[in-house]
Amino acid sequence: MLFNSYEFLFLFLPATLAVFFVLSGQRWFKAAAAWLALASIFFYGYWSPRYVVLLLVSIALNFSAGRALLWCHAHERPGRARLVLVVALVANLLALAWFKYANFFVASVNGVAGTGWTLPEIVLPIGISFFTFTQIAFLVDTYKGKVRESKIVPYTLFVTFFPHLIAGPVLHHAEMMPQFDRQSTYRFRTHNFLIGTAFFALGLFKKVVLADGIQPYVGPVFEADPGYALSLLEAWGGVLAYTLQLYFDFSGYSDMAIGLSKMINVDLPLNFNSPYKAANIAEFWRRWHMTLSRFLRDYLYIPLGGNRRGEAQRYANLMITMLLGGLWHGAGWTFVIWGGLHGLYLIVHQAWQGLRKRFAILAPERPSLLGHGVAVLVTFLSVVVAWVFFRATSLDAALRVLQGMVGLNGLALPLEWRESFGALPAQFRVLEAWGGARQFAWIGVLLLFVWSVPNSQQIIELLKKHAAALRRDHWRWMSLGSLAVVVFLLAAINGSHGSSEFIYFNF
Amino acid sequence: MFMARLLSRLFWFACGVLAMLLLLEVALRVMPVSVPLPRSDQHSRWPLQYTPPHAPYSYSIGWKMQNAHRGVTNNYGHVAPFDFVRGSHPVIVMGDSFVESLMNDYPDSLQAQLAHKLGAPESVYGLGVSGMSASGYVGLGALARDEFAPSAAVILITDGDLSESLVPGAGSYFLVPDGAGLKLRYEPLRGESLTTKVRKAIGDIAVHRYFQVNLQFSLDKVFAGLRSEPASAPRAGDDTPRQQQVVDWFLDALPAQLGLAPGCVALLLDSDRYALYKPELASARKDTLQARAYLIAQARMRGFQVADLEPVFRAQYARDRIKFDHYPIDRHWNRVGHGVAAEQAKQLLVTPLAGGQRACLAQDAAAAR
Repeated sequence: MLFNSYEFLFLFLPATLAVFFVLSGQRWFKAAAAWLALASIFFYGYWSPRYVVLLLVSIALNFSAGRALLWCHAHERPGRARLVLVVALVANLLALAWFKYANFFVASVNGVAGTGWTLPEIVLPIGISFFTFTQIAFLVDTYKGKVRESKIVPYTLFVTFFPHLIAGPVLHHAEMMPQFDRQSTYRFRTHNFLIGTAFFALGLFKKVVLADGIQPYVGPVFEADPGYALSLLEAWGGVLAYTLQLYFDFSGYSDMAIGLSKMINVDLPLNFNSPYKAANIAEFWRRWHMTLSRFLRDYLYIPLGGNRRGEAQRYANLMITMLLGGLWHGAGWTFVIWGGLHGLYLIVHQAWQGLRKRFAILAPERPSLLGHGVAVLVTFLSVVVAWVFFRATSLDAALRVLQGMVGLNGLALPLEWRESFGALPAQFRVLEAWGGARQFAWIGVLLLFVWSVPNSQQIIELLKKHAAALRRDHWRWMSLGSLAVVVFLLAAINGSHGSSEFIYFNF
Repeated sequence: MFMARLLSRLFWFACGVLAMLLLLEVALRVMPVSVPLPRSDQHSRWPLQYTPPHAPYSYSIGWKMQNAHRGVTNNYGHVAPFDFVRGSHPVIVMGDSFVESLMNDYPDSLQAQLAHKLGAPESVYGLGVSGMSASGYVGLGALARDEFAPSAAVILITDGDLSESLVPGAGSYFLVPDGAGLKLRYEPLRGESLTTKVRKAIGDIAVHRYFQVNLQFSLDKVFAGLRSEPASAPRAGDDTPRQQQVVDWFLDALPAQLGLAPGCVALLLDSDRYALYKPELASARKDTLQARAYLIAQARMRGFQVADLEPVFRAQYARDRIKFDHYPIDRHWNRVGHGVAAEQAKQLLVTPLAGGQRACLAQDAAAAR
C-alpha cells in the first residue's frame, strides 16, 4: 500500500488511527500496540499476501535468535552467543541474497563463464532490505548487550511498524522500544497530531508535486533508444531532473513516515538534512539517507576497523563499505559502480583532508563564500555524475548518458530555438529527450528549493517556534482542518496521474 | 463537557477546512483552470449553436494546468476569432475535440490552416464538438446545410466515431435499430432542473472545476482504488459487423444531409500516432481495424475523397522526427498534426477528381470567395 494512495489515505490510516486511539483511551496499551502490529502486517500484506509469511518467519527467527542471545548472556556462554549471532546473520543474509541477488549472481556467472544457468523468476519482496537490516542491527545490539527484548508483540511492532516498514528509516531497537513502552505514547495529543500531519503533508507535497512533477523529464533520457545520440542539453537535463526527483521522492517518503509516526507520538529519526547543501562528500553522507549511513558506519565500517588501522586500511574500509552500500541498493553492476564512485570520492576527500592538515595554506580559517559555493557545487556535481549509474538500467545506458554529458555528441540545440539563436555555432535538431523551456523552469525552481529553502524539519521547527497561536487548542484544530484539505488536494493530484511508487520501494 | 469540547473542536476543524478552501478558490481563480464550453440551450439547433454566443472558455490539462489557452466563442458558440455568416457557402470542417481544438491557438487549427492554404481566411468554418461521433456529424451536417449551404465539407474521423454512434444519450445524436438497418435519433435535453441549476452554480467554483476537469477526480475513482480487484479494462472493439453497419449508414446519409456530392466531402482518418513513436504506447482501439479499413474502401468506392492519415504521419515522422500531438500529456494534435491534416484536406478538395471531373474547389475560386 502506498502512502499516497486513496486506500491508504481514506481507509487504512483513518481506521488504524481511530482504533489505536480508542484502545489507548481505554488504557488497553498492549491491545493498542498489538493492533498497530496487526495493521502494519495488513499494510504489508496488501501488496502481496504471500510475502507476509516471509516477513513473519523472518521476525520469528530473529526474535528467537535474540532470545537465545539473551539466554547466552544470562548463562555466560559467550562462545555460544557468537555462534548464534553468526548463524542468525548468515540466515538473514542468505534470505536477502536469494531474493535480491540470486538472479544477479547467475547472470554474472553466465556472462563471465558462458554458462547457461537459469533460475525461476524471483520476485523481490518489498522492503526486504529494510526489515533485514533493522533486524541485523537488533541482533548485533543484543549480542553486544545494548538491548534486551523478550516480548514478541513489541518486537513485531518494532519491525513491522508501518511508517518505516517498506522504505525505512532504518531503525535501532534502542531508539524505538522505549517509545512503544511509555504510556504517553498511547494518548491522543493534538500538538503531535498536528506536527505529524504537517510533516506528512510536506512529504506528500514533495512526492506528488515536486518529484512526480519533474519525473517526466527523466525517462526519455535514461530510456532513450541505444541508437539515439543524447545531446549535452538533453543529458544534463535528464540527469539533473533525476537528481532532484530522487531527493524529493525519497525525502518526501521519509517526511511522510516521520509524520505518520508522530501522529501516534512516536519519533522516527530524521533521514535527510538538505544533502545537496553539503560542501564535501563526507558531509553529503551525513545528510543523505542518514539512517542507512549510520547503519553502514556502525555495523560495517567500524567493525571492519574504521579509521583505527592506518590510512591504507581506512581507505580500503571506506571502499568496501560503499561498494556493499551500493550493492544493498540493487543487484546490478551499475549499483556497484555507484557505490565504488562514492567510495572513491570519500577516499579523495580523506586524502584532501590529510593534505589540509599538513599544509596550512590549503585550510584557511574561514572559507570564503565563493570557496564554500565552489565546494557545494563540486560536491553536487560529483553526486550527480554518480546518480547516472544509480538510475541507468545498464552500464551501456549509463555510458551513453555520460557521453552526452561531456559533449561527445555535440552541443545540439532544439530546432524551435533556431529562429532565436540561429547565430550560435550549434547544430539545431529535434531533441527527442528534451522537455523544452518548462524543463528548464522545473530544474531551476527545484534547485532553488534544495539550495535556499529550509528543509522539512526546519520548516516545522520554525512553525513551532514562531507560531505561538498553535499553542491554543482551537488554532490547532483549525490548522488540522486546513491541512486535511491540503492532503485531500494532494491525494487527488496524485490520483490524477495514477499513484506512482516511491523510488526506494525498489530497494 | 466531553461533547462540548468535541463540538468545539469540530467547529474549528470545519473553520480550517473552509478557510483553506477559500484560499484555494482565490488562488485558482487567477490560474488557467479548465472552463469547459457551456452547452447552448438552443436545443433544436444544437450543436450548430454549440454554446451560448461569445462564451468565455479556458483550457488546460492535468494538475499542472499545462498548455493553457483562453478564448471566447463566436456568434454560433464555436471556437473561431470571427463570426460565421448565414448562407456564406463556406467549407465546413466537422469533428470532435480535435476540430474543436481548444488546446491550440486558432491559427494552428486544421480549419485555420486549411483556410490559409486556400487563401481565404474566413472561408472555412470549424464545427468541432467534443465527444461527437459519426452519427453526430450527420445530424450536424443537416443543420449546417440549412444554415450555411456549404460548398465542401471536411470530416475528421477518429477512433471511436463508429462504435460511439451506437451509444444513446440525452442531448446527442445516436443510431438505433430500424428493422434491418439503422436510423438517426436525437434525444433532446430535458429542461433545466433544480439539480442542473445547482450543478451549474457549483461548476462556477474554481476549486470544483479544478477537481472535476483538471484532476478528473470522481468518487468512483476513489472507490475503484479501494476495491481489491482492479476494474476490468473496457473490452477492445470486437464488433466489426455492427461498426460496418454504421459505416454503410453514415456513407449513405452523409451526402444528402450535407447537400453535397460525395466528391465534395473529404474524409480524414486519424491514426494512433503514439504507436508510431513507441509501439508500447499504442492505445486500445474502440473501432476495429477492419471497420476502419471498410470505411476507407466503401467511401472511396462511393466517390468520397478519403485520406488515411496513418501512412502520412508515419512517413513524415520517419523523416522529421517531429511529433504531431501534445505528447506525452495529450493525444490531441498540435500545430504540426493539424498542418498535416490541413494539407491532406486541401489536396483532396482542389485536386481534380478521377474520370476528369472538376475538383470540388478551385484554389483561386476559394480565394476569390
